[in-house]
Formats: sequence, C-alpha cells, structure tokens
Amino acid sequence: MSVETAGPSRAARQDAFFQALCFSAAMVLMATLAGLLVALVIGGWPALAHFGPKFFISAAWDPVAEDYGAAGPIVGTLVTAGLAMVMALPLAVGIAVFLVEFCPSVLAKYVSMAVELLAGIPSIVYGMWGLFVLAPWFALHVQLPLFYVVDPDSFWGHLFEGIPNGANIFTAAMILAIMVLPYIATVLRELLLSVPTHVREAAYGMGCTPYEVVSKIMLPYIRRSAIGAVMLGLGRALGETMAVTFIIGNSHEFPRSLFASGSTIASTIANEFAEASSDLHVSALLALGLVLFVITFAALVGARLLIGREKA
Amino acid sequence: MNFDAKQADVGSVILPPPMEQRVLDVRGLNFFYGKHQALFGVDLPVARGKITALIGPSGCGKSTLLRTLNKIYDLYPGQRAEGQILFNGENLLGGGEAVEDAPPASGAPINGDNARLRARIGMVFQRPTPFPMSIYENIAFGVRLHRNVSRAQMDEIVETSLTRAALWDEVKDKLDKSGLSLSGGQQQRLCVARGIAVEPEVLLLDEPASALDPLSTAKLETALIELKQSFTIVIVTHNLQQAARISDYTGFMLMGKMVEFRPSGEAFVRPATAAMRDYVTGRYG
Repeated sequence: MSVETAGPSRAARQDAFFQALCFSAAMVLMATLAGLLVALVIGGWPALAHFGPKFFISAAWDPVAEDYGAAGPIVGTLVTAGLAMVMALPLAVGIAVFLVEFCPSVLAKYVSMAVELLAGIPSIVYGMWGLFVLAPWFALHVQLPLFYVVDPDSFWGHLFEGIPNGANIFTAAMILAIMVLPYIATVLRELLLSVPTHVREAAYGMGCTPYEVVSKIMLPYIRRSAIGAVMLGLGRALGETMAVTFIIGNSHEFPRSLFASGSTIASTIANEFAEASSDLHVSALLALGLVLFVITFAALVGARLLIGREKA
Repeated sequence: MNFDAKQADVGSVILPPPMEQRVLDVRGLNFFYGKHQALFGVDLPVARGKITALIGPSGCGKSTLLRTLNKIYDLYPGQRAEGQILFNGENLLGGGEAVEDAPPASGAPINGDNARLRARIGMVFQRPTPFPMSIYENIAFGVRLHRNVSRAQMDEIVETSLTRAALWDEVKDKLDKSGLSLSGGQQQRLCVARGIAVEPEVLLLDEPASALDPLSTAKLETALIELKQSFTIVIVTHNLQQAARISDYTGFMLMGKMVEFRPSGEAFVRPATAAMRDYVTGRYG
C-alpha cells in the first residue's frame, strides 16, 4: 500500500520542487536585472535632476566646475559602435560565406579555429596592441598623408581633422570591429550551415552559380536570424571598455571629426570612477551607466521588433 | 539478405527505346561516394517526351543515378562518376571527345558548364524546397537567371507554369505571399512550376510525392502526365502503383545495378527477371 501511494506522490513532489527550482532561477535573473536598473536610477537621479534634459544635450564635462553633459560620450559610443559594425559586417559575411561555401574542408578547420581564437583574446590585449602598434602606424601612414593631401576647408578636411596621434574615434572603431568580427562571423557561419542541404541543392539545381546561391538564396534564408548575430556584435561594441579606453584618446569634447579624440560612455566611467570625489560626479557617472543600459536595451528591442516584423 | 546476393547475380534485361529518341543515355556508369562504390556499370536510356520511372528497394542507387544526370553530386568533393552520360549525344563526363554510336546532337553543347546543364535538366527534390521569397518570385527567380524578360512576359510565364503544375487556381490570389506559407503538396507543385518555368528539356524528380498526402499526390501525377507533352521526365519513386500509372519506361535497380529496363506496361505485367518479379509482387523490399 505504501509503495502505491508513495510512488506518484513522490514524483509529484519532485516535479513541484523541480518547477520551483527553475522558476527561482528565472526569478533570480529578473531580480538582478531589476535591482541593477533601480540602483542605476537611484544613483544617477541626483545628476539627472540637477541638469535635467541638458545632461543629454550638453557636451560640457568639467569635474572642476561640477558641470556634466553626456553628449560627447553618448555620441562617441554610438559612432564607434556603428562604425565598428559597418567595418565588421562585410568582413564577417565574407568569412562566413567563404568558410561554408568555398573553403576546402581541411583549410576551413584552421580558419574557423583562428576566428574563434580571435574571440578569446582579452580586450586589454587588443587595447595595448591598438595603442602601441595600430595608433602610431595609423598616425604615420594614414593621418599624416591625409593631412597633407586633403584641403582642410573641404568636407573631407573636416571629416579627417584631428591631432595625428592615432588615438581617435576611427581607430577605436577599428579595434572594436576586430573584436566583434569573430562573434558575428561565427554566428553567421553557424546560420549558413543551418540552411537545409535540399534548399542549397535546389538552388544549384536551378542552374544558379555559387554567387547566386549565396546572395539570393542562402543569405536571404538566414536574414532574420542574422539580425541576432549583428545585435550580439553591436551589444559588445557598445559596452566594450578596456580596449576603447586605451585608444580613443579620452577627450570629453563633442566629437567633430572621425579622427578626433573622443570618449565612450564605458571609457568615461572606467577612467573617472576611481577619482570621482564629489557626489554629483559619481551620480553623473551612474547616470551615464543608465544611459548605456538604455541604449543597449533599445538596440535589443529594436532587433526584436525587426525580427517580429519580418515574421508577419 | 542472402536473397539480395543471389538476385544480384541474375542477368539483366534491358529493352531500351530507339537510339534516336534518347535525350539522355547513360552507359556503363560507375559512381563512388569516396571509396564506396554505389553504382556498377549502370545503363539508362531516357526517351524524349516520355516518363521514365526508376524503382527499386531503398539504397539500390536510383536516387544516386538521378543525381548524376544533372551532376548535382559535383557539389561534394568526395563524389565522382565514371562512364558516359550522354545528353543530346554529348558526354557530360568526358572532355568533349566524340562518342561512338551516340544519339543525335541537339541544342548548344554544355561544355562542362554545370549552370547551363542544370538550366536544361531541372530537378525537383524529395522534400519541397521553396526559396525564401514570394510565390511569384520563386518562379521568376529561376527564369531571370537564364533569360531577360519583361514584366508582362514574366507574369505570363508565372501563370503558365503554375497552371501546368496544377497550382494556379489555388494561389492566383496570393502570388505575393511567401512560398513557405503554402501546404506541403502546394509547395511541391510550386517547385515543379519553378522547375518547368525555365523550360528545361528534362525534369528529374526524386520521390516528389513521398512527403505528400494522397490527394496532393494525385494532383501532382495529373500535372506530370500533362507535362509529358513538353518535357522528358525521369522520376524516382517508391510507389509502384505510381510508376505503373504514369511512366512509359521503367528501370528496376538492385544493389547499384540496372536489373531490368523495359516499357512499363510489359515490365509491370510480366517482369522478366526474378528480382523484379519478387519486388513488384511485394516479396522483397
């Protein structure tokens, strides 16, 4: 008798316990997220209340005068991340397509490994490489020649304006592009591999050339999920701190050219947190953190909306 | 399984169509997946404007044989074919040298251009493979690959192809909907329409009805019989009734060999080999 009744009830108890366990795991995540948001809002509130909307518009960032405006870091963040995506995406598509469609399988193994290795390099190493290798090279071989060739009053002249030391928004975006490249390329490769064999064969069976198969069938096939890959890279580019702090030049000026020194939200916080003495300074930095949180969140929501619209 | 080995030794009976009718003529074809040989000296004469069915138990090599005809196996480095596949008298596996006793040439030579070959020998696969685009675009896509046509001409091609594939009435009001939104049977007929829109000479079908319900299958078969007027069809099928119903010639394969190839009427009524007799009476497979 005891066996008959204990069996199902034990299973039921186990089930309930398991459900509760999974539920609490999910809730811990939600609570952390909510706690983070609340802490950022509370911490950043004094600065936001003190400066009002000016906090987002003003480019003044003067710890001595206690005047904080976040326009410089905000624009710096968006521009570096955006530029990085523009640089990385075509390369990532090229890598993924090559690996899946054209690369001999022996070589594909090693190239894939190299791509994944790229993802494993700590960001501080990228930062050092950027500062000690890329920046001087860029200053000498790109900035200086452009400085002599381009008319400083032309559109291009303004775009390329800046101290030729290689530490600027453009080089920061280059480093970011290299850093997000393996993430995007790896996900895109997985997606391309997920295109069913019979669809690929059907395309070739129609008399498509390899270029037509890739561009007209396979890439459209993964388009929707590819947005996810791009967002993964964008999220990383928006929040990347160490490497950017090394090379962006850390100026709070509103960035007026590609080759101007600038700052991102993350680099500003990393640079100043230790030295922030006044409450308002700390609060301004926390408010910056809140802004970054919102930007990243908005990027994710945007991606979701885009994916949802494609489904309909 | 002993049964297999015994039957494989039985001599083959091949009653091919006349030479001048053969749009495709496979001779002594050996096929390899890496080191594994899947076809052994297979002959397959395909008569123009007829339906040729390939039957046989799973793994006998009928799909493999079909996949050599448009060289789709070329996508995979480890796979290779030896022998002759004559398409309008031109050996697709050769270096362009003349072949003795070949069927008459017709049309421009292929000269090793797989894209051109596949424009002239279309293929419909076992599972429906609509492309990720609208119904209209699914058909227009293939046409655009090979020809420049005006919008009006394209509209006409789309309608004609869908009509011939017995799908037009079901989709004419939703041509801009995704091809993936159709049912399985409709998707497969869309693939047939897509295949015939580029006006190939030969249409290869690899078990096109295996994933379809009986009603969809019937519609597909009706479409195929209609299509015989304009195309040569080679169909691989597990469904013997289907083969008997629609085909003019039937090839029975076993263990990578062509055991019997004859006009379908005779082949199904009076199989010449013990192996085919056992297979069609359900004692094998």
